[in-house]
Amino acid sequence: MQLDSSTIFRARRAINEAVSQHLFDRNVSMIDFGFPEHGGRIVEDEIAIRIHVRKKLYGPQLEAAADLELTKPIPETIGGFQTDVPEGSYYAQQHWWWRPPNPRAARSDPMQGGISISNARHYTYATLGALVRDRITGDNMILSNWHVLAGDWSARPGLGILQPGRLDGGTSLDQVATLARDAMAVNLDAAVATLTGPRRLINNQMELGSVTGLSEPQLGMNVIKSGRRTGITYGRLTSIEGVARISYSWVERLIRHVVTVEPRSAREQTSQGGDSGSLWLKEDTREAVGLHFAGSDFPERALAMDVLAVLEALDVDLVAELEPARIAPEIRARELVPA
Amino acid sequence: MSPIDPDHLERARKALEKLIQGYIHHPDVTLIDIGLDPNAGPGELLALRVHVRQSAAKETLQLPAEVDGFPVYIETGDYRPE
Repeated sequence: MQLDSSTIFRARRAINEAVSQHLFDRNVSMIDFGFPEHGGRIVEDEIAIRIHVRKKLYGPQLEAAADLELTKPIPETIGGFQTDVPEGSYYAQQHWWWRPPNPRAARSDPMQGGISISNARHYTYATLGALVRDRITGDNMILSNWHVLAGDWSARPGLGILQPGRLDGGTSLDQVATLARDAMAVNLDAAVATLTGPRRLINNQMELGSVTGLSEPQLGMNVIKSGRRTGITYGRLTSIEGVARISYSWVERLIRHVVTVEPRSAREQTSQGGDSGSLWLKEDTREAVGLHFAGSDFPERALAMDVLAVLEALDVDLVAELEPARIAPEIRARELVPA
Repeated sequence: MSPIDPDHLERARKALEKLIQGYIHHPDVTLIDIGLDPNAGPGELLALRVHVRQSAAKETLQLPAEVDGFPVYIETGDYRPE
């Protein structure tokens, strides 16, 4: 139906009149101008001022509500247009785009190893490796890679670290730490960030449990990791003591103390982009072995750095105390403290 | 598997350093490390591995067959930060 400009002008005046008379009626949810409904059928060759109500009231019910000033009857015409009273309640339909379904990509409190982080400058995500403690100050810190926490050669201490990472929706409101130092000067792609703000970081690897200690990497060792991109994956150490050439923003660096993790079967995957920063653990004891930093697809391999060398270079200790949740349930029931 | 004999490992480390000094800066080389020798005899567990970016480099890269008694194997691997 094409409406001429005069009709549209009169309709707008009628809507204004309807709004002033009825929009603040608590039973009215919307007022518009459109096709009326007769006998359950939309009539498209007529036009009407439509006053949408949450619940249509008739006869005595309407009279009683009007007497109590809960609503008032709608006239048959407003501004020369017929009125129609459809029933409808409308609600904002928020789509939680910033809360992805993957728990590793979500904002976490407390935080743990295996979840999404990034620095505040780069639109990406990678993995929070573990809770470590500064040997001098005792500060709690996040362990991950240099290329995760710093990201490029212009990064300076104090750079904000976000959880979740920016590519997972993290914003400046999600800052949880600041870059403290890195170990690139001694050929290790590793860094730590000092925790700031109220959110805790606990000794837990998502879906794996607490880290129990440290282990020297050994050839043939079965390992497991929890990473942002590929979650839980398995592997076997096939090399140690490696030196790798890796490009970081077109600058090639040697990375030392490299161990190689290969899948145990041909169809398995060890890692993908976004897993950087994951902590490889000895599968049977959950002792930390290596800090993941690189990989290849053909063949499928993951590269990590000997975690002992990483901790020494960064002057931090891995926190291996068990979280209260690991204590037997009957004890936890008596001694559980709020987070 | 059983831990590697410390002396055997230390000798492998020294051989590895020689290989690294000679080849780590070759444009086709991406990683040099110590692995298990797939053809190991009794007491000879370790080997040196040189990873190259593309398999074609296996033909052109002239590596020694062994360094200080440790065999040298060529692997293919192009690694990037993840």
